[in-house]
Amino acid sequence: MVAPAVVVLLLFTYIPLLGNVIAFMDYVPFLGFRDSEWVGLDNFSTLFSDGAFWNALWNTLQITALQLLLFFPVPIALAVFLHSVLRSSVKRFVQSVVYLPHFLSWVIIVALFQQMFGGAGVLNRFLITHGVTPLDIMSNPDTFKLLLTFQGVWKDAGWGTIIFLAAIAAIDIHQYEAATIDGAGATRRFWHVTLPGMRPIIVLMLILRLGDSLTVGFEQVLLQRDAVGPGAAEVLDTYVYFNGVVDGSWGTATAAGLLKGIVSLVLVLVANSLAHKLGEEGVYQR
Amino acid sequence: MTQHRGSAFGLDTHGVSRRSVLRGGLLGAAALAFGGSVLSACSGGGGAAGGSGLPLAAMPTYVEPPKPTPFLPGSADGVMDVYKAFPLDGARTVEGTVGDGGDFQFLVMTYGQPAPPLAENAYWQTLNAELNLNLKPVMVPYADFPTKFPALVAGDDLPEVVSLPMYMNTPRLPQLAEAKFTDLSDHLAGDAVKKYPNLAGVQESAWRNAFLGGRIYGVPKSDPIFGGQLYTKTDLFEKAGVSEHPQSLEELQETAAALTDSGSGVYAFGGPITELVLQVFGVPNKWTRTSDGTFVPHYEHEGFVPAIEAMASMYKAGSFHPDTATMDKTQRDSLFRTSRLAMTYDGNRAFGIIADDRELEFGMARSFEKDGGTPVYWTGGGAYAVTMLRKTDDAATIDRFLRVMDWLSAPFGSKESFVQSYGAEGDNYSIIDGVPVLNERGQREQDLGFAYIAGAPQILCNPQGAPGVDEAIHTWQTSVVPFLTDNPAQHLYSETANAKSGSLEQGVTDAITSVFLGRDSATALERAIATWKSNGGDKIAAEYAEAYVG
Amino acid sequence: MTAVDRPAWLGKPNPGATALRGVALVLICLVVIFPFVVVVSTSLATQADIDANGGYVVWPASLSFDAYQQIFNGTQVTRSILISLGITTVGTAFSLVCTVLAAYGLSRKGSLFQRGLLTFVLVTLLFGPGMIPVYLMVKNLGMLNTYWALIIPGAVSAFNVVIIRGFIQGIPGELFDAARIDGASEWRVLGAIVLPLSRAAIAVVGLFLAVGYWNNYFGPLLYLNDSSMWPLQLLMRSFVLQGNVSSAAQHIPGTVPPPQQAIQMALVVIATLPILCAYPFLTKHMSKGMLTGAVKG
Repeated sequence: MVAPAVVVLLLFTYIPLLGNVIAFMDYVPFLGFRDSEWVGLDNFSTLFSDGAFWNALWNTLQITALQLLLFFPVPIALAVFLHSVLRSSVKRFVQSVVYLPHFLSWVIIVALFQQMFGGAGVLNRFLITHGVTPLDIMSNPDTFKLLLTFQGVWKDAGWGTIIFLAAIAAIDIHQYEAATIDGAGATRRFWHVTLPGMRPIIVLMLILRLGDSLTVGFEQVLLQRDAVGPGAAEVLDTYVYFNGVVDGSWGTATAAGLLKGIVSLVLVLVANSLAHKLGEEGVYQR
Repeated sequence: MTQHRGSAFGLDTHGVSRRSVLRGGLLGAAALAFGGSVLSACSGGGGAAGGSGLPLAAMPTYVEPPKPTPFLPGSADGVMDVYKAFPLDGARTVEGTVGDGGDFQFLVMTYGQPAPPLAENAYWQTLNAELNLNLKPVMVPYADFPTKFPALVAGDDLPEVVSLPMYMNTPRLPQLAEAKFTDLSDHLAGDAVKKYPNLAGVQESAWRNAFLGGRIYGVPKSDPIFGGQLYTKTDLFEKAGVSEHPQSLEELQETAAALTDSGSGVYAFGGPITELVLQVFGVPNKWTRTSDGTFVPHYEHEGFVPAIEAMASMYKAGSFHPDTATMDKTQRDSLFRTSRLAMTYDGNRAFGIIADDRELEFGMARSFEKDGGTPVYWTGGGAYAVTMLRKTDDAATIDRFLRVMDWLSAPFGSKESFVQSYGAEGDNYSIIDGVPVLNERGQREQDLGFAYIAGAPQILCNPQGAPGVDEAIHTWQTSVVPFLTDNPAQHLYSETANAKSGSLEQGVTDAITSVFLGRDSATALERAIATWKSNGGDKIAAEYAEAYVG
Repeated sequence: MTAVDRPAWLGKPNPGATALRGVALVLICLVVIFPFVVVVSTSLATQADIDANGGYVVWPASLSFDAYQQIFNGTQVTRSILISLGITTVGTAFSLVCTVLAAYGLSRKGSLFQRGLLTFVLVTLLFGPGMIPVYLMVKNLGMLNTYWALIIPGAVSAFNVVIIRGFIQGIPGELFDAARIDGASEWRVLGAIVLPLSRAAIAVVGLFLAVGYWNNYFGPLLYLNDSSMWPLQLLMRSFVLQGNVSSAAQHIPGTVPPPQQAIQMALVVIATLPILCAYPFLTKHMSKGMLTGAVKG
């Protein structure tokens, strides 16, 4: 039954994964795999010796942490909130619009933020005319990571509710009845029926997000990198872009990709075993 | 590259976007740094071997092409001829049939929607008929070229003809050319080019771009040698009572301050003017070659850091729009058009500004030096793209390729050039008052990109554009000619530069941005330059010195 | 059916809470819809409007459909929309089949290869192949310049498999036991129990897949050399980035070209519309709770 999936993955993921060997080579496309020079761990040592790489890694980890703390709970809370709306017409309407910003490209979202919060934006013009010093929101390196997270929430919180709404819908409605009969109010129902019902999916999503954690947003960062400077804004993906792709250093780019994968693996394994401690199946169980 | 969550495909933002490089924004400086430092030169000196070990090919002989009398003549220095209209009765310059009825596949970049398919494309059909070929474009969105091109190379899927734009830093280009493309030297060097008369009419400044490892690998599409210029919004200048041609740095600063009125949202600048200030401070064009043969980067020029500081002080003084750091070209142009930006520094033809708006009244500031002395003006590379032929030994294929390039390089005024520019009568253009006028369909169908892979020296002829623009450009070009400064490394190849210039330059560009926006002091820039030198800059200088011939 | 479906166990509504809820909902909707209003408005605005507003218009002073007319000039855009629709439907169907089968197959404990296969799938979650090796694989299988190259290589995402598997694992074990005791084959269990009860998850993953296929421009960029085969997102890519409909920027006297911003926004609208239409159909499946009486059946 799993066969078709396996074949696809084998052909298009596993075999090409062997191509990651170029992380150990000085790969040049027209020479191909066979004729490109083998350099061993040179690509990795180039990365490790570059202060900018560590800066990018550190920024990436910080943004990941912020996203986990500030972004991850929002769709859950939003989903619970939406679910509690009873008028089905309203519920359906809100469900259908809440994910809209997901479809806007980052170009547009950054431009809109610029118009609202930029130096000459609506907010600051309002402040100026009322004699208040304008706020530097869009080009402040110290708050940049928060700005990124906030933009992410605007864009994708609604989209994130989709899966949690599905999780809530899967909870047996009789449990609510039983809980109410037992005397539970709304809050108790939430803690003892809704949240536990969603828990497997929440844990699952958390683990999956960790697996992807170091991919914090390429285009979003690239568009605003100049405004705050690479010290605050460089993330792994943009670092790889400038140091690997732009120069055509496929070897270095792939090496960075491998490092990303390894860090994500560690994070996922840790999260998975924590999940087991909580009694959840998590993603993988021995 | 890991797969993105939730979707089957997801490389959705990993598709590397060159957008930021090309939007003329803060990274624009990096883009300008890319172009040109890739290909190797031949200054006619004999004997020095190219990388391939073959002797240096001679520059194709230049034979002045026949052309109609211009309204305003250009000059050999690069000023472009101005014409009022395209002659309708041009002579044929190519004899005989160009093609053999077969397929002609070519790789070209697209900047907009790709052209309509053959069945609906009168322009395309006309070209096919004229050339007796079946043109098959392989279109690549320009921003994705760095991604698609390596894949094609790796998979050995290159189309027969590949047009590489000069501003893209193609990694290891000389070795790539040797491995995958045809060495055309025997057919084009010296007098051999006379077999293709129109190719002989392409100037040396363009041909230099086609040399790799000392051999000729492609045919250039010539570009004017001019770089960028400062456009000025006339009405704002009149209102502020300042001249559109500041003659010194001080005057520029005063002008900028006078033009800025943040209360009404009017600012002097909306984007970085790095190139402008550098030239004002007399900084040479990227590299200088000293009398003993060493190459000195312009970063080390005494004016470099002060120039950036000057730009930073203007930013601090408020002459720049607050959103300068994140604005894109479209927004900047829009603000310029609506008189909220007084000046904008843009490329040669600044299509976004000029071509789209006939009502726009603007000027082009003349070059000046900070103390009113002799300014410098940086030249560009001289070619927009170089078109190459996939490796083959077949003489007939090579000949056909060159004949097509020859046809494309027909000079202005010739019949071939007319067909390239206008297409089919009725469908693509009509004659109004003796002047051929492209209609909308004619405009769109030209996105075939065919006309971009080769071409004769460009001229100024925009009867459909804003009136007086061509003359204004001509005047401006003439004023700048005495100050033209070449980059001696323009056509030299340095391995380190090819492999690392992108990331190396990025470090300096980031520092410039940082100082410009006031985040850092000038010491940060000095540090960045020192890093540039130690991480590869010095090596590049040494490599250029070695590569220099003649 | 009454407008408000208030189950008996919920008790009486609290007017204060309802009011607060209402306010919150309105705010959320505003925040979310506002950017879209701006996008649509800008796509219908004239150049004067756009310039006056600094690039984005909240409400146009006068309507102009020029941008849409420009875009639909000629058959290219229409055809690419059809191509996109085709790829999305076929792709989503194919992916769903593979994914659901894999998810179910991996959710049953104890089968011989289960653990190995699970690891096999999970590793792909973390390590992705590079672009060039995949390209070479596609080329070697002869799929270049075909639509299959857009559907098959990315059809299975471990992420989706894990999600559906998670939902399947949430189905009470008794249902499975009962069916198997009755002698049902795995396929029957799949059809009779798993599919109906995982409707929500399948709908969600289906939506993710559909959006992914619809928005994907990278695959077509890499594998389709013939521009008449390009789906919408790729066709529009250069345009959206650079802002010109046509590279040849000469001016036609007597006509005013539609503003670039308007065209860009119109493209966003056109590119987003089909997915927006698909979503309401899917919410039907997502809101259904667990079927009562399933245990009895």
